[in-house]
Amino acid sequence: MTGSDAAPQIDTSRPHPARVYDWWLGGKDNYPVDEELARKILALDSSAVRGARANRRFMHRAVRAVAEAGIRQFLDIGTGIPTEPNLHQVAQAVAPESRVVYADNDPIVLRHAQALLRGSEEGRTDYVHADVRDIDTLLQQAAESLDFSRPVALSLVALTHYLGGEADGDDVHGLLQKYVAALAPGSYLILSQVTPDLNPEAIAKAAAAFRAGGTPFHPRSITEFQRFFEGLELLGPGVIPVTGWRPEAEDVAAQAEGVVPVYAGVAVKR
Amino acid sequence: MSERRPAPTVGQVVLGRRLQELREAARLKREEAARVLRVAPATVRRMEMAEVALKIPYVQVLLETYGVPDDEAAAFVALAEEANRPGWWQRFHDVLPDWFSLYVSLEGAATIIRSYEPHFVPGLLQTEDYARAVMEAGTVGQTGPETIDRHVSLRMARQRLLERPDPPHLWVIMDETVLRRPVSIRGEVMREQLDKLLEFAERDRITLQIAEFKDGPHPGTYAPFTLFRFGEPELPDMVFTEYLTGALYLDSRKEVSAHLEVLDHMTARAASAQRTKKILREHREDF
Repeated sequence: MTGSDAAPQIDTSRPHPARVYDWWLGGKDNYPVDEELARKILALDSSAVRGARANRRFMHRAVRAVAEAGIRQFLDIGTGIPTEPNLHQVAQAVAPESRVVYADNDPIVLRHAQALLRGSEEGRTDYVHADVRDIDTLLQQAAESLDFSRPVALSLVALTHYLGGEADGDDVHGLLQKYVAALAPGSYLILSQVTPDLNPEAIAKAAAAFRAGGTPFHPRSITEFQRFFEGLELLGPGVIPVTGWRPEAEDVAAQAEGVVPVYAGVAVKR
Repeated sequence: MSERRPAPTVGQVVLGRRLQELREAARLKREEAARVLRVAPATVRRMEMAEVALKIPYVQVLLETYGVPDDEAAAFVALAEEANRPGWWQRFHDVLPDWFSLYVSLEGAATIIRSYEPHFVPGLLQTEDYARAVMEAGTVGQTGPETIDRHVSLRMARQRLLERPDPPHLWVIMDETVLRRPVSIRGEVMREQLDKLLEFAERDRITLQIAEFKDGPHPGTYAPFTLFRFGEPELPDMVFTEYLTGALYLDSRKEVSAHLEVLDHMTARAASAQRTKKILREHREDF
C-alpha cells in the first residue's frame, strides 16, 4: 500500500514479461507488442504455453502443500497479471485467515492486483510496489501485513530467470540468500525457473528473442538452480522439472504433451 | 408495442461473429453459404453482423455446412436460442435507444467493467437524485418530466446488477472534475452521492480511482469510455464510447488494445483506491 502512489515511469511501447506471460496463459491483458513477442517465442520454443500453465499449476500445488503444512503468511514476488485462481485464493481455500502480500515492480501490474485480487474476510491481502532487488523496501513494506518473526512462504515463481548473476550486477543467488536470511525458521521458499538443460537449442533462441525485446533472460542449469536452496531442506521430490513436482492428474496428462524446460523446488528453513 | 426489432443482445453479437469465423474456417464465401440456405448473401451478412436475430433453422443448416461437430453445433444452437430472448431492459424500449440497449446487455454479460468517466459519476453508481439532476441538466429541448422519470427508473434498474450474487468487477477512473462540479445547487445531492460512492468503495468488486488535477493531463482526456471483459476466453474485450447522438462499439484488437493501454496508464497514475477514499471524504466535507 505504501509507496503505491509514487509517480511511476511507464513504458508500454516495449513488451513486458508479465503481459507476454498473460498472452501465453490466454489472458486479455496484453498489448500487440506483447502478443508479437509471445508468438515469436512460441514459434521458437513450442513449450512456452505449456510452460506458463505448468508454472501456474506448480504455484497452486506448492502453496497448497505449505498451507497444509501450517503456513498462514505468504509473500509472492513478481506477482504478474492476475490469473484465476490466484495465490491468495489457493492459500485462503486451505486457511481463510491466511495473509498474502503480492509484490511487483510494475505499476500497471500492481494496480491490476489491487483492483482484482481481494482476499477472504478473515484473511488479508496486500500489495507492495517494489522491485525484487530492492530487498529492504520490499520487506519493510511487506512487514506492514506480515509478521516476519513467524514463518512465511516466500514464492518467486518464474521470476529468477529475469534476474542476472553477479557478472550482470544482479547477483540473484546473493539476493535470495538475503531474503532467506530475513525469514524465520519454519519458513518456505517456493521457486521455479527456466533451464537450458532439457531443450538447449529452443531455450537459447527464446532467450535471445526476450533479450531482443528488451527483457534480460537467464536460463539456469540444475546446479545453478539447486544453489538457490543452499542451507535449506528441500521437500520431496527435490528439484525436478516443474510438471513432476508432486504431480496431480492434470500434471501427469501435461507431462505426456512433452517436456517443459522449467525446474521447480520447495524448501523449508530449519 | 413498437414494431421495430430490439437492438442485438451481446450474445447475438458474439455468436454472429463466431458464425463468421466458422464460415471462414470452412473456406466458404457468404454467397456460397447463402446458396445453401437459398437466401440472399445479405441475409448471411446480417446474421453475422447481428443486424437480425439468429434464425435457428438457418443456423443449424449453416453449422452442418461448415462441418461443425454435432455436440458443438448443439451448444451453439442453445446459446443462439438464449441470445434471442429479450433482456429485462426491453420494457424500457420507449426511452432506450438501440445503441444503449446493447450497452445494458454488455453490462449484464461482463465479468469486468472498466471505465473512464471525465464528467460524472458512472450511471451504475449514481443516486436517484444525482441521476435526475444530471439528466435534467443534460436534456435540451422537448423532453418532459415523464421521460426523465423513465430514464431515471431505467438507470436504477441497471444498478441491480451490482446486487447479483456474482456481480462483475467494476473498476472506474473518475476525473477530479466529477467531484468539483456539483450537478445540483442542492448540496445534499452531492453529499448523498459521495456517501454512496464511499459505501461502494468498500465493496470487494468495486475499485474507484480519482485522476487528480495535480497529476496533470492524462492519456484519457478525450471522452468517457467503457471496456467490457467477458469470462469466456474466446470472447474479445469490447469498448463502448459515446458521442452526442449515438455511440460506438469497438471490438477490433487494435482499437480495444489502444483503450486498454490508456486505461492501464491511467490506473497507474491515478490515486490508488485507498487514497481515493480519503479524497472522497475530503470532498464530502466541502459540500
